Amino acid sequence: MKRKLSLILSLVLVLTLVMTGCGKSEEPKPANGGDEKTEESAGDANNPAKGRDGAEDTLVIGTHETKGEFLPGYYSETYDGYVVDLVFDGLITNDKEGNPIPLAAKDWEVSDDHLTYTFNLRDDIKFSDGEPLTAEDVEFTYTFICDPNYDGPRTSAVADLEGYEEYNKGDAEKVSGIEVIDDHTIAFKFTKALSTNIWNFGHGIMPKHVYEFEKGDIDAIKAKMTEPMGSGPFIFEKYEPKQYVEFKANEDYFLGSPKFSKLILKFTNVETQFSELEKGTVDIQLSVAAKGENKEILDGMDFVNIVEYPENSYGYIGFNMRDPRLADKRVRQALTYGFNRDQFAEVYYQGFAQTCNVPISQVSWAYTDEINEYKYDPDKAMKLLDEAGWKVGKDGIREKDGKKLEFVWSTHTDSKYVETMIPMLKSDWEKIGVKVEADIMEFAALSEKVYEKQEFDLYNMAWSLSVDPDAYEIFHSSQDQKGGYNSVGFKNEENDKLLEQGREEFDQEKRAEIYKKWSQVINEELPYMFLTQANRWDVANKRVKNFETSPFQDIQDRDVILNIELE
Amino acid sequence: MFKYIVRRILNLIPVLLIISILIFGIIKMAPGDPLSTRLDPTSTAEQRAAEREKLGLNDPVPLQYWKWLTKSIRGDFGESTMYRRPVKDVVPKFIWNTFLLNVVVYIIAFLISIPIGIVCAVKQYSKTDNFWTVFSIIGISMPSFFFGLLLIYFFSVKQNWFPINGMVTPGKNAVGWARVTDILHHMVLPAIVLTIGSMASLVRYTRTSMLEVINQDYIRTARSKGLKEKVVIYKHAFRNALIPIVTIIGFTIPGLFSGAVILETVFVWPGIGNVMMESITARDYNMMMALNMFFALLTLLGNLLADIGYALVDPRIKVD
Amino acid sequence: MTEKNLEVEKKPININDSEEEQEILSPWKMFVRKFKKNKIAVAGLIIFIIMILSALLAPILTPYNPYEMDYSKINQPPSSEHLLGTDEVGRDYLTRILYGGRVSMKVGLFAVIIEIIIGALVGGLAGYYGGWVDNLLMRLVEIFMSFPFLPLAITISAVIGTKVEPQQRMYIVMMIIGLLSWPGLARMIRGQILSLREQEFIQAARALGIRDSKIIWRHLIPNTVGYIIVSATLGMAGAIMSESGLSFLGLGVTPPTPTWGNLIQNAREAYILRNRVWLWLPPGVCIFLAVMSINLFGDGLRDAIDPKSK
Repeated sequence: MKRKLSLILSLVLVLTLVMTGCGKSEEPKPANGGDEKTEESAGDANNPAKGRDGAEDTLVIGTHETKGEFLPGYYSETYDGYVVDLVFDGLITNDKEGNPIPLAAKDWEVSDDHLTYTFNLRDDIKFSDGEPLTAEDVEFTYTFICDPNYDGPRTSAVADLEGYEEYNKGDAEKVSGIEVIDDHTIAFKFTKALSTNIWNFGHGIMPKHVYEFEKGDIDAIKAKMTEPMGSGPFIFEKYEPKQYVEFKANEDYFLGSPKFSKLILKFTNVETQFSELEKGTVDIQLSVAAKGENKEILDGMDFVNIVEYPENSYGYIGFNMRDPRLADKRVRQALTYGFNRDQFAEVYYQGFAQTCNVPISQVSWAYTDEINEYKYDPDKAMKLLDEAGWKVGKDGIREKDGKKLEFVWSTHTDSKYVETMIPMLKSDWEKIGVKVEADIMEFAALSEKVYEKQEFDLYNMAWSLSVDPDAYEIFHSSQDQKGGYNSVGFKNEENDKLLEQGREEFDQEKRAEIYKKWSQVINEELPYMFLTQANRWDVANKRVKNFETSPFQDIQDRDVILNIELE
Repeated sequence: MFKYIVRRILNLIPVLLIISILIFGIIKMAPGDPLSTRLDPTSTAEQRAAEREKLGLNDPVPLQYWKWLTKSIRGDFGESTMYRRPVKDVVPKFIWNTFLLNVVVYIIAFLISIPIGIVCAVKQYSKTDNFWTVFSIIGISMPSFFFGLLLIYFFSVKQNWFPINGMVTPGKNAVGWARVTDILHHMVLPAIVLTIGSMASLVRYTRTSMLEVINQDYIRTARSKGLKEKVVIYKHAFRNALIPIVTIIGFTIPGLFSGAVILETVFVWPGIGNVMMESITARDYNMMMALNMFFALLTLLGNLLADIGYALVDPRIKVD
Repeated sequence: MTEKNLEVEKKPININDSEEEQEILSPWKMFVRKFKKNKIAVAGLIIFIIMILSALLAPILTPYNPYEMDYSKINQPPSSEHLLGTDEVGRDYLTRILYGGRVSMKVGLFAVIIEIIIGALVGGLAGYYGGWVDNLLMRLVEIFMSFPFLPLAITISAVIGTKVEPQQRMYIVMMIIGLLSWPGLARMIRGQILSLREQEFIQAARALGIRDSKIIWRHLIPNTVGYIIVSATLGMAGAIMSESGLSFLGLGVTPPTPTWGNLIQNAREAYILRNRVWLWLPPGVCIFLAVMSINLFGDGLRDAIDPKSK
């Protein structure tokens, strides 16, 4: 199952290690465009990757390290997700535009009440040990997540299935909402009709005969965590913790064999990734921070190409709306007008950035640009604050009813992003009469402060965006509880109504309309000050042909990985 | 002597207990818990609360400690929340990697330092002696991470002589001798840093021990008996200087291992140092406890070894 | 500081007997003479003084403010205006290094003071009183000695560090280093005192019925001052090193407060390691020079104080 399918929105730590750059919103560039052909011969002679032992049929991909959570249902980071997706097939996947398309399922039907999904499986899929993939395996896979002792992060995929409670909390032997009709047909029945439910079926199908366990004996399946076996295009060979994961091609893969025989995910980091590329010890480096200086290094290597596209994530500063000072929309707007976000993007990304104003990816069908851009405008900010009754006091800080516009901004360590922003935010806000002090803490501490205790004025984090624009878990008022993700305490009737409608509507055009309205509400209310939306660079050696990742299709996507050819 | 050793070992138990209590307390003081770094909107607040309950995070800290202690004694160090696997399944590989690097470094450092130390002692205040004195001071004063960066800059970035990180070439799957050379190739730079660091103190220590012995009466007697200088030095003096030198192993083992924490992050060596840093960020309590206790045990044993060495050398130290 | 303490040393001897007086007076002269002869140690002292002066005089030496940013001048290479260029937010880098030195040395100094206070107290008490006091204190020392320094420092810093303002992290780092490094000193002082206690002039003082506190302050402490000073010097070198290591890992003093350790952290970004050598080489060299000069100086001190050495 793809993380981006399953997670509505997931958090991106804005650590330097995973920091993603932000580039101009250009069309994704193919790895081997027309012009580059000519350059190639020049780059050929000194292309170090070609001289590597066994390079002809081995692809080495540089990525952040995995933790060894190699089971669908257990992995919690994108990088472990790569391994899981390469080894296991889900019932569905998504296309380049972010629409659901069949994978292990031939097709599917949704009942008129939108509660029942019936999948017809392909009959030509075999696990890598030769056993065929059947509806029983699908049933096993989903029943496993319903297990009473299951402690992984995928519960939401099954929690709305009929009979989940009875199985999870009671003695039921089966989940009544999962029904095997025949060897190649299976039906799922939900208790709620939500258009986002389809994304629960990207979950990788596990062979029952390998992973089967007694109900409740979850340790039995966890013991097999680092030896994944599935039906995917690659067969897991070896995992060296903190070093690499090795695969061999599944030549009998039902969509056709990969065009090279060996695949290695090599763990790199910001310190090593450029040397690896330069020495040809990796062929593709995923997620290189898009910054001017990195471009300079990459331009120095004439044997690599950059694939660039908008990353599905955004950084933000959350306003605690339980604080009466921040409950006033005008104050939030003024603070946004009063921070030169463009300058920050310029300084931090050196010309490879842009600001964002809504929590929806620009490439999504739900995106609208009919929104306020909140261009830097200190005069407007001051006007708004004046209107809201905040007058400049003797010390230059605005005050009202004995309260001052003084904030503590809780933020996290280990981030150049934050280090760069602190002084800029301070000086910009000082100009409009607002004082801010940064309180820097470790991420775990920040997270507790924000989500568990909800004690903060301002904080910053980042969310990554999913294929589906739904953001119920983050902005709906029902999620404003300790431990919930509506950490800022955003309560707005219109917002709630639109979020609910968005999930309950099944027609994409109508949904787009709803999310357009919702974007405008969020953009006006500003529960967050939206900061930057980043671009992502995947850098590939020119010997890698037909490599093209895009916002909704990462490296492990069948359309991407099966197309790659090596030279 | 035997009684002394037994008593010292028994003494370790309360010391270990106190250390474990302190470390557990410190760890629990940290804001946040294993779930706070795992923010995932697909899990609801209720699910997260249930997971906390299951991990026993809501229990009073003393109870949590008691649970940890009783389990640990039985060899169950709990599940690493970061890796979702039992700590004892995850850790050995990393310990082995760190161990491998350190053992190689140790052997090299000893083989080089002891002869140098002896020569320096024999030719006290000579040019050789002065050279190694300065070398030792430089070695001790060089921050390992900075030295590591320098080596990476010159030998991995400017000259493509050594791999920049890792321990083996992925996918090579070499076996036998080829594997050994592959690992050694990756090991060269971090080993240089660690070797020079430990050589510095070993040379000084050997020199001092030798000097003390050389100036003693029985060596003078041996000399005056007309024994050859070589025999005097290597047969009589060195033998007696050896024990204090061995003692220093005890003192330096824990230092080496914990020094590796910094160096491993510089060279991305897949060892415990790296895991240690991660476990803190992820608030992986069981992992943090296991690693800290591992280091504590190592330090205790090192000190014990050193003390036993002292007791052997210096009869003035009361053994009982 | 050195001179003052050694002057104290003279007094008690004056009271005791005249023969000792000559012996004690001459060691001070001998010490100076011996130290001066040791050219390496003198060189160490000079380098160290220069480094301290440049840190103290930072506001005079540089026209820039270490925290003031200039977005029009970010990431500049070294020039006559900015000798070591500017960083990613346009702060003059040389200035950052000078002020970083202040912080690093301050941390080193205070960590050592904490170390000495605890170490001397525990070691002194244990050595003098012996018996159960000694037993108890030595158990404590043993426990502290068994703390794995770096892992524990990393853990504590990560854990406690999150509870304080970034500006105060410096003090936390001092405390951690100080609190974890005293046991060695305590052990050494205890050993010293143990052997002194058995010496005749102390036995004599006791036989004369001189009060404990007087014996401790007038006889025992002055006689261990030399060792304390030597270990303080070497300890400071160690503390500066520890601070830089912690800060390098991001667990010591955190930006925007500069220290040599966190300035080198820059080099962990590939581009800077490769193309902006001036951002990480100078702070590294500073740490190296500071630690080395202190070590050389401390070594010289030890040799000069040790009556056995030539």
